[in-house]
Amino acid sequence: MDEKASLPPYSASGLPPPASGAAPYRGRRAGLRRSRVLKFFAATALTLLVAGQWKQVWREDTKAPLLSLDKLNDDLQTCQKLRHKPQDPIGLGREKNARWIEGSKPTLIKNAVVWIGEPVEGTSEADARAGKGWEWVQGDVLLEHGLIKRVESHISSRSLPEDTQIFDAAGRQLTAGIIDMHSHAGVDSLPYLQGDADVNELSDNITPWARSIDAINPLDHQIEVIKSGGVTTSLVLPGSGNNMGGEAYTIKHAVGPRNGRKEISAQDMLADPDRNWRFMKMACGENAKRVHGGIDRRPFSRMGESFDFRHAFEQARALIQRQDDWCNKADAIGVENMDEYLPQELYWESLTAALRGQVHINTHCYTITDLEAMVDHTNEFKFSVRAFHHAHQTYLATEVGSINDPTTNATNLTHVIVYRSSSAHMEADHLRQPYSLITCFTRPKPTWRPSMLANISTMPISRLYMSVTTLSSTPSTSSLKPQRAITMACPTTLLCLPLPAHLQSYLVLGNG
Amino acid sequence: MVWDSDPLSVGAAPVQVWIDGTAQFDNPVELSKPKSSPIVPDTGLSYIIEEPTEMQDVLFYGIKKVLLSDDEIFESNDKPMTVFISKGKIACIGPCSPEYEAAAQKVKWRVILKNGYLTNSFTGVGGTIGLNDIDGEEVTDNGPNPVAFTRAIDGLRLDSKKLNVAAKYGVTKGISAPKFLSGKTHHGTSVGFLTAAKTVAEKGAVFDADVAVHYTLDLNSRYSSSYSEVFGLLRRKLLAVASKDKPAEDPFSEAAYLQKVIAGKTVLALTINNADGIVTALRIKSEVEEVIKSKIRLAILGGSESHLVAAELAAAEVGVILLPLQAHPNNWDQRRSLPGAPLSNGTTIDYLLDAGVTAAIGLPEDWYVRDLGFEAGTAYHNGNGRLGEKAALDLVSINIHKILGSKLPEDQAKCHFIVSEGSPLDIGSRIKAVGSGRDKVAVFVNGSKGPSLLESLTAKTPASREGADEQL
Repeated sequence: MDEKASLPPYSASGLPPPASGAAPYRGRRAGLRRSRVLKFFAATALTLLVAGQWKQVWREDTKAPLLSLDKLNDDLQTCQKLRHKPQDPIGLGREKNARWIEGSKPTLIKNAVVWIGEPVEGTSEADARAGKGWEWVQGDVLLEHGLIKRVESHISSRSLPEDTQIFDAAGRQLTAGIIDMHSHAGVDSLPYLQGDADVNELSDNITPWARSIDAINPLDHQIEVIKSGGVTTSLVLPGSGNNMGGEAYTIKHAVGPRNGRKEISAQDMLADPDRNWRFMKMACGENAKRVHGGIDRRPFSRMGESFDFRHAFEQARALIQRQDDWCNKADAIGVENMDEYLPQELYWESLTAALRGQVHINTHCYTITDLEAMVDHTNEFKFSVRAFHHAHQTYLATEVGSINDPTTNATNLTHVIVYRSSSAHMEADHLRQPYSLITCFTRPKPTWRPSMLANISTMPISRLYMSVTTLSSTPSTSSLKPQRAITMACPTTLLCLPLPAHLQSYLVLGNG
Repeated sequence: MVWDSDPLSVGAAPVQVWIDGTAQFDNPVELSKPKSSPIVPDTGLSYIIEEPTEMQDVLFYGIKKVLLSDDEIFESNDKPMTVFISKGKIACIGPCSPEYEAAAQKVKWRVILKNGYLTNSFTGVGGTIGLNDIDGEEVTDNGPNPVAFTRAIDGLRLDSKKLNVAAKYGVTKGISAPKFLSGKTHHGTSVGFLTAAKTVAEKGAVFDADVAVHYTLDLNSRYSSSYSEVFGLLRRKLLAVASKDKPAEDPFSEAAYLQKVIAGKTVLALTINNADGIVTALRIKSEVEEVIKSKIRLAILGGSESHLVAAELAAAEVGVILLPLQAHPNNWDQRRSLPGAPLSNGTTIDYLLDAGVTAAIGLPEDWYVRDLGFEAGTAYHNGNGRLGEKAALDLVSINIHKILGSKLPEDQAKCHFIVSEGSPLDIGSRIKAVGSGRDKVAVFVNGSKGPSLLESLTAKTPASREGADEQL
């Protein structure tokens, strides 16, 4: 309200209209030649009165076009969006996948050995964590309307639509598609050509406004090659040259009619066309200072990086305050009475959404120093980190837990042993990862072969599969202090994508 | 998706992938692989010994396969072999000769394996091991050599984290050349050294002071000139040396090493990925040979597109060291790299093998030291039967030395070996001992936990030892 008090009066439509301008003059000049004065006064008063009234009318007329009621109403709608808390889409109960294209035929995969992705019923949590109770099962899998509809020991093709396509797996193993949560496919097209290199928006160190979808090249050969290694879904992140790199998008590796799609476009590749959640890339440590830093150029050191982070969060937090004030006031007095539009800035829009808990923040941090700084920012500005990427030294932390929910992920770029001084990916390090972390694995190179992680990881196979096919769903606030015991219960969403119908509770692996 | 083998097995590839219910590959290539049941969790794998026990004498029981030299191949599932290591050397495979019998009777420790393999140790070639400790930190690096022709032996620095990892994972020999600009580029003479040596002063630390003469003619060579210039420059250098009768004044100069190349004594190793670039190099080779009327020995490092010119490479008797086994088309000069199944029928190695080219697998980045066995395993499992286990392991050991004409350490046959639980080509295998050219063997078995057991024989009489054997 303080800000509003200093606003210019013409827009202060809530104030009462001014009183008649005649009254203060009456009687002040009594005692002069009365009749003439009176006559003159009467005429003057009349003139003033008319003028005053006319002016009043004029002011009422001119006020209306200054603020658009349509826009004010739009702004009020925007308030709803600002207050929106994203929910994970439902898994069970959907009729069809939001990406399903009318006319696609059902497919029956027969005689497969299926990794269900959930321990058999009755397995205790402790056993499940230790890798017990998980198994491969013999069966058939029905794909329909873009969903895994049924997984049963035998599905009779007679019960299915006539146009059902049959694939005989001949006893081979079937898993859900792999999700790569650290990808630059499409924004860092291969082979490298300067014209296609769009992975880092290096014009500034703080670019929360950048969006990877604006640069995803659906024709990047890599997208097909990555799929040939079993990855069906990737989180396409901006690079790590900036402390705040910009928004990331989950895509499916299906491009154009050859892959069953209607068009060749980045939009069409979006794994979650409803855009339930947003994603953002941030990066601590070595890269930003190396790329941007110099004498008189920030960030020169990690201190400068932390300031850049905090300054950006401060801007976003201030904007949130102004927006919330506006929305609350509009609710209180009616939007038609608002004397300004909702404050909005494209520059900070995504970061305000992040602080509002609508964005899964994925941050690239190597060292304890970086992890600690990022956790410090989360506590200062009250937001959650969804996943630490690279995460070389998370294994040294006793716990990277959460006050609300301990599902922060760590993505390890496996196989890079001495890439940075902090890298130390030996088998035993994976075992040392704090249990609060769901460790996910990605490969630093395009073709993803899950076997490549098996040799270094001694995790139970169940955890391995989970680590490459799932992400937990609940955002969390990070803290390096021990918080509470962690469950390894299967998360129910995959990158917050809808799960196959009927299988929500136990198909951690799959989204068709 | 449906996989051609267990998705955690080496080389596993999808046979078909569905996205939103739609099959993604029209005519997927499917590799022929033996049918197998899913890999089951093996809790034994979690017994990880990070620091080995150094032993001079030790017995290994339960060796089912020996894949050393071509005439030392042994395989038996029924009657596993016992291997006796004495003073770090393989002394007996099976019954000991009288020379070692007494020592074998006195040995204090034995390792009991379930599915033991005894193989050659690996050689890490083409990376920066020995010349760099941390990729991202310049101060730990030998530095670039874009102009000067240098010898790697002059920049060799040992006992890095990378080298310790290498030795632990059975990469007991390194062959590194000075880097031209960045990783995967080479300029100068490479050095052959032992990864387990702590300093270059150690006896035998360098087993080949100047392995091969390296130049880089891939995209990196374009940093300040043109392809036409750098290829032409190479020809000019070779012909200039060929036209001189006298030996070079400085025996360690570029001219001196090129004289050895011209004399056919030293291999000229060119780092090239592009198929046309490789053929250009072959042409220069023959242009020079025409002048000198003798053969020079050539090797290609990189070779991402070498499958396109496999026949030409075979005809010129030029070997290829792939960096890596399966290249990605990261750069324009390797854009025709093959991704393998289900997209392509075979990868570069398959074409090279079919054409009869001697092939090997190197280190495109140093972290591959940990994965060389799996690189060879990928070639083995995805080769549709082209390779046997021994031939696959040769890709990361003996073949490298053949291609580069590198000497082997003197004690190679007896002191460079890996003992593993399971095949080094497979997921789930674990290295249990590494002989790295010293008088001790590093043993990664500790006590009685895990699939492999370490047992003290000190208290046992010969008779009870026999009894213990029968329980195995």
